[in-house]
Amino acid sequence: MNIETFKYDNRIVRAFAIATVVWGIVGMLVGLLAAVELFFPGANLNFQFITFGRIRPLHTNAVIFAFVGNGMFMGIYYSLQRLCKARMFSDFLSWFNFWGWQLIIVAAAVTLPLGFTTSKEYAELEWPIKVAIAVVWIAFGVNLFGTIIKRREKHMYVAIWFYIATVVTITVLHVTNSMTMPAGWFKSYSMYAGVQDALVQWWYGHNAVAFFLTTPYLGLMYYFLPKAANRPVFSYRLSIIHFWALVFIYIWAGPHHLLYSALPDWAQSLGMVFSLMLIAPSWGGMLNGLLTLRGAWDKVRQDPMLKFMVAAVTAYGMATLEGPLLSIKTVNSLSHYSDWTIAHVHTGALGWNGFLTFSMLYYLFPRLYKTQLWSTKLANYHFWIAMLGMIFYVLPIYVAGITEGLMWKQFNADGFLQYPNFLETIVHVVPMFELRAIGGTLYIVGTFMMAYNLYRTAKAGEFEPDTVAQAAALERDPVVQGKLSFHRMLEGKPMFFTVLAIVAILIGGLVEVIPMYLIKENVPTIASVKPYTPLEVLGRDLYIREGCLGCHSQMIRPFRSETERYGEYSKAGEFVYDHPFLWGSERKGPDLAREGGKYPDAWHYNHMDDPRSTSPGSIMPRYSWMLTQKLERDALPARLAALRRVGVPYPEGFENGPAQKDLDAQAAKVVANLKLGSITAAPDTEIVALIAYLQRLGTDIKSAPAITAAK
Amino acid sequence: MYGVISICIFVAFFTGMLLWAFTKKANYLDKMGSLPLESGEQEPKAKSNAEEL
Repeated sequence: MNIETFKYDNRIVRAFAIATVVWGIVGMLVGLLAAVELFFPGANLNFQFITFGRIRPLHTNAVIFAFVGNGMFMGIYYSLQRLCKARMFSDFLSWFNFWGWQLIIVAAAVTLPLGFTTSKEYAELEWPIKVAIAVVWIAFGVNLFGTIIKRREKHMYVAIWFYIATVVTITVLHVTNSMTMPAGWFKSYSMYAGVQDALVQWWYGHNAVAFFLTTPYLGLMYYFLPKAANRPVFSYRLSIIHFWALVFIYIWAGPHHLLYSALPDWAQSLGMVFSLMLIAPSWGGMLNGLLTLRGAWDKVRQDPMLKFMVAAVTAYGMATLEGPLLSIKTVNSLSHYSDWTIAHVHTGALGWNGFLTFSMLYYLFPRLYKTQLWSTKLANYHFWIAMLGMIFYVLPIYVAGITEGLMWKQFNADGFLQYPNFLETIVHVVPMFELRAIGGTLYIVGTFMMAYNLYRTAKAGEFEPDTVAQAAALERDPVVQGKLSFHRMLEGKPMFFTVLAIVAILIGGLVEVIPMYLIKENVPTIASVKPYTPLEVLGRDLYIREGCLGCHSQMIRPFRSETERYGEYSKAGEFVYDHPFLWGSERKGPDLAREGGKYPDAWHYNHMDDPRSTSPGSIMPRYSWMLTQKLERDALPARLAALRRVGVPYPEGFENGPAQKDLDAQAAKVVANLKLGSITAAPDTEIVALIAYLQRLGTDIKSAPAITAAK
Repeated sequence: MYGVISICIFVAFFTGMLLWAFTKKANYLDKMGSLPLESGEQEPKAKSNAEEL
């Protein structure tokens, strides 16, 4: 037997570990600011770059891609080398992955506050950054597969399967959802429109949760939990079933984000049924993790690392039970658009991803620095303060979410809405928003305690840049015809395994997405729905820039409580020119799908200047800069041309002259309307375009009701 | 029709997967399960000042 000596690369693991701590703190602090702005709307100090609409995507991107992303790389770079008994395939690719990822995060931190956003949730970054993400991600994939191919361990442990599924699925999701038509360096329009865009986005959005926040972390659980408990996983057979069932089912569940929307009913039903089925593999995985600790529970009492691990796996179980329940249409009719969803995702983010990351950090630092953890006591305090923080975060928000849902639906004895003014329902839950901020603060304090503990551990020890290891070179199985079992062949050939995993994830995606394009009945067209005017296009772009859809949906569901409040429910055909769709997923303010014509232009002007002047108690920030900032007229030709390329029927050459005239005429009308309200506005200011857009919303079918040319 | 095709794909996939998983030999599963324990750094000793909280 040929014994080889080699070195594991610890430097790259340390780099990602530091990055996850630093970005974790940044992402959480941005989240705290967003939370404070929800009960103290002046917290942005009237500074446009940190309004809620702009920093909400910054918070979600920072936590998902910077905190969890770096945590995932940290865990994978550590465990993959050891499971493969090989150094990473290429040190260059490792560092390319590291620095590329950090640059992308910095680019996100700069562009999102500036308002450069596609508006698609968790995919907000503009196209040059999306290209960079694809390049860095592929570099990571090459490095991962290269390491697997040169491994010295014959078998591929189940954790590696989860890593492979992560790499291939995120590639497919990212590329498909990022299909955009550039209109300049920092602006692009989704190739898909309306219902199709919504389906692709939530197929992506849901599976970003599945394959970025879940599968890699499950792989890490399957590595670090047995290591920490010093015993093998409870059932390896269950882990095989867990893997295949999860990757096969998860991909179908995306439409549960669009229940009761204009998405065709069959797609909604598929999303709901597959979401319910997800309980089985998810709970199989959770129980497999918890039962691994059988006979080792005494360790949990002392070891903070195991405490975090147990809490993380439990939070995974809670979130993956709640998710399917929220996907039941009846439950969803109450929970959707409310804060219930926010509570749900934070059980996953703070509990599952956060605690598992902390657990890995407490495991890795003493080993990387060849010393003991500086203070086990402090780590235990961290556990309890983080746990309290999580409870103080999610409980008030559950109460807020259910309260909102019930108040929105409540009718009085005479059959009228009990709370016809949306504002009443939000003002009612503001105390819950305040409590949530306290919970978030506790969680962040705990993270600072951990950062200090890890820093002191590093100071006390001596970093080992490379760990020397020995293993026998991998002898390839002599291929005896008919003797190699299917499973051995599968795990002996990582590329073949990868193809199977891709097939498993593609089935669900294709079955749902393709009919949406090929079958016309899915999006019945409405003859009176016309493309936006040039001024409205620019107004819509401002709506996207300010992240209005973070709080305002544009999708009225077919419930009496919604049609009474907002008007006629939304139809698929209304969105055929919407690149991207702006349905939103959350209501901190009323739905705007039928906003056009509800209020005079002057009301909108005053409301944007100071929402509390027209709506006392409103939690919306001021947008006074829109009253003076000049409209980006120069961008109009490129934007109209890009929209035409994705299918909006603007005539050829429209953008070169007629569009500017059209814009001037419509702006003059808005200015004249404002004059009626004793307001003098310059026609080239942003507010004029925004008002034009808001007054257009939902009016196409108001003017000509029920012209449904369904075919 | 559409639903029938979906359910057939679903049932076929799961039947195949379960059959496959349950034909694995016990010693193979034990060996696979213990893979993470074979490599990696030693577990540091528990700190003396560790307190139960």
